[in-house]
Amino acid sequence: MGMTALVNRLAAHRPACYLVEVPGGQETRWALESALDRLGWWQVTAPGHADVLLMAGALPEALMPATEVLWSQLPGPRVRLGLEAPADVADALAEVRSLLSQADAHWHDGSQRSDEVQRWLGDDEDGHEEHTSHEGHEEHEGHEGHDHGDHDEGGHDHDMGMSPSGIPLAGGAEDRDGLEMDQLVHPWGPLLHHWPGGLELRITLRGDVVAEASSRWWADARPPDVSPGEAWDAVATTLALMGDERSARRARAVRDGHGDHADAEVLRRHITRLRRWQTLPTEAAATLLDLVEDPEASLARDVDAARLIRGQDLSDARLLLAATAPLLRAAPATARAHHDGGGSHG
Amino acid sequence: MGEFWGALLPAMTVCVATVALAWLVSATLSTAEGRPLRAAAASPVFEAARLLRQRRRRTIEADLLLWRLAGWSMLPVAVLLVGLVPWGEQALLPSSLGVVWANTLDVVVWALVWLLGWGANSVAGLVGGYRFLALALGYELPLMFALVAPALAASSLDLAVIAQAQDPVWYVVWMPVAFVAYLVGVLGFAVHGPLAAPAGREVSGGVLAELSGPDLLVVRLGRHALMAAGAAVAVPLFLGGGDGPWWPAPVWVTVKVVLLTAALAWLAGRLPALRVPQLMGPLWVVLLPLVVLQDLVVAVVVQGVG
Repeated sequence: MGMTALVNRLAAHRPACYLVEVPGGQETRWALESALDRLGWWQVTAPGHADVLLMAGALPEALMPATEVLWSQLPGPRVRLGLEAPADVADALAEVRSLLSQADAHWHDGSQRSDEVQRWLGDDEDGHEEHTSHEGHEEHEGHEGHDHGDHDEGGHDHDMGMSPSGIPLAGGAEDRDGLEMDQLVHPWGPLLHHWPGGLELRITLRGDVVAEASSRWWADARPPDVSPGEAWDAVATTLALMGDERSARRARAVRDGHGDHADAEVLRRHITRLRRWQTLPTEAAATLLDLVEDPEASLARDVDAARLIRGQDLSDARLLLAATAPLLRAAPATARAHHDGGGSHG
Repeated sequence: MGEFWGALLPAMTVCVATVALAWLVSATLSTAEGRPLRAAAASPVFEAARLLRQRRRRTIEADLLLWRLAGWSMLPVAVLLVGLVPWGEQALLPSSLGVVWANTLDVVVWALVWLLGWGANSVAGLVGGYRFLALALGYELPLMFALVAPALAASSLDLAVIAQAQDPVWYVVWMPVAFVAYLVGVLGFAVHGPLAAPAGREVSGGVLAELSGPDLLVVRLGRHALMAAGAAVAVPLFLGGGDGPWWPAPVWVTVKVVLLTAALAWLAGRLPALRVPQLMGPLWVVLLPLVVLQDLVVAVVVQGVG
């Protein structure tokens, strides 16, 4: 008993948080990130690693099913906190440890569900059915293109012939070089870490290259506006995704007004260096530098998320989206439920 | 029976040493990323408790056997690597083919990381797994040629013999290129630092994305341990093994292993992860010819002296 109590206490000491921004939750996310920095808690990049699900912003009804799928992906003991405004942050985080320590409640929660993550629910032609919500990079990739048919010999239910666990196998398509590649339709967003709140992308992957993409926004269009804070937020997000945590923290400080001019200068030089080393995709680095140097001028660009990532590999696409996030939101074409059908590719 | 008990203590020592070195890697990495020293040193304890308490999680149609096997094999591979290192006169696993065994173990890691990505049956995992294969092609050849240099100079594949042959000049002094290529390879098979792309955050952790609880704990431990084990093997290969004034050999080996591990982890924590398409060029077009040239220099010197 003493041992269990000790592990429980140690385990709750430094919770791992999975932080998701919902539409309109940007400022709450900033407050959360800076609070996590102060506490020294970790932001993890996969729900499977997390204890705490933090939803920044007021969750719209339409995103509830997606939230449930995401919630099911936290292994448990798990705690979920929805924070509607920056003012809620301090109180909410203060109770995380005690919530995580309630062993009995977590034991009960765990006994109520399977250790297999929740299934992705179907998919309609258009790819935008209300309940096909899903979190992004997760478990429903049975239709991956690498002979997963091998696994379906067992007694799984076959919905449509070759559909292990009801997940259809990959279809083929001609790739850029004329060879046939298996392709996989993969959802990205709307609830994903380091991701613009409310953006949902549906991408067609060949290997790890985004062959086609279509986008949808779960948020209302906002007037175009890039504040210096948003520019530095894009820098912080991009650097955090690259695993450059030290510089990301510095960028968050500048964003929140804690950093000084020297910090901004250091970061600018850092991005220039990353561009020279090709560590950051050239286009992403250029966008970031434009944003921090002249936010107004960068607004002139009309950026569409789907067009931006077509033809990029998965990680470049992710970094490009992070770097361009303020412009994506500001772009006038990003009205609610905007569809940008696949389109052709080179 | 007596032999068994005689071997148990050294075996336990090597296991404990490997885990302690993994802790050193973790703490150094966190410090390099800008966390306060105390928090960085304590965090492995909190993380271990947290992940021990966390539930395991399965993905749909996961290849459970291979997935779990891969994750739980990383630490044992690291322990075997540390076991090859001659601490004093003798290693736990003395072998006249020590260099070959070290190479074999690092190739085993190919399978482990790839299967870790494959087994989860997820996009992030597979992308990470394939990236690792591409990276492994890039770092493995320079690594193999780097291992040739000390073996050639000492005319032996035995790590103990190689260590003793470095009197009075350590191999790192006249084989710097091989030393660097070897350490790049270590970062590669530990999936750390500039070669961490297979576990990149921008693909949600890649090969690590779907792991949770104890499975995640052993993989993290294994990765850190592999980096430390790689650094440990570099000590007899390039840093003169137990050679040094005043102290006995085992102390020197320990000091060198700890310092090299910390230095490597610090570097890994400071450098950003490089993109895979950008890595092939430097690794094959620049590093590989340089290492081959290094081998040539070593061969000529050995011929000239002999």
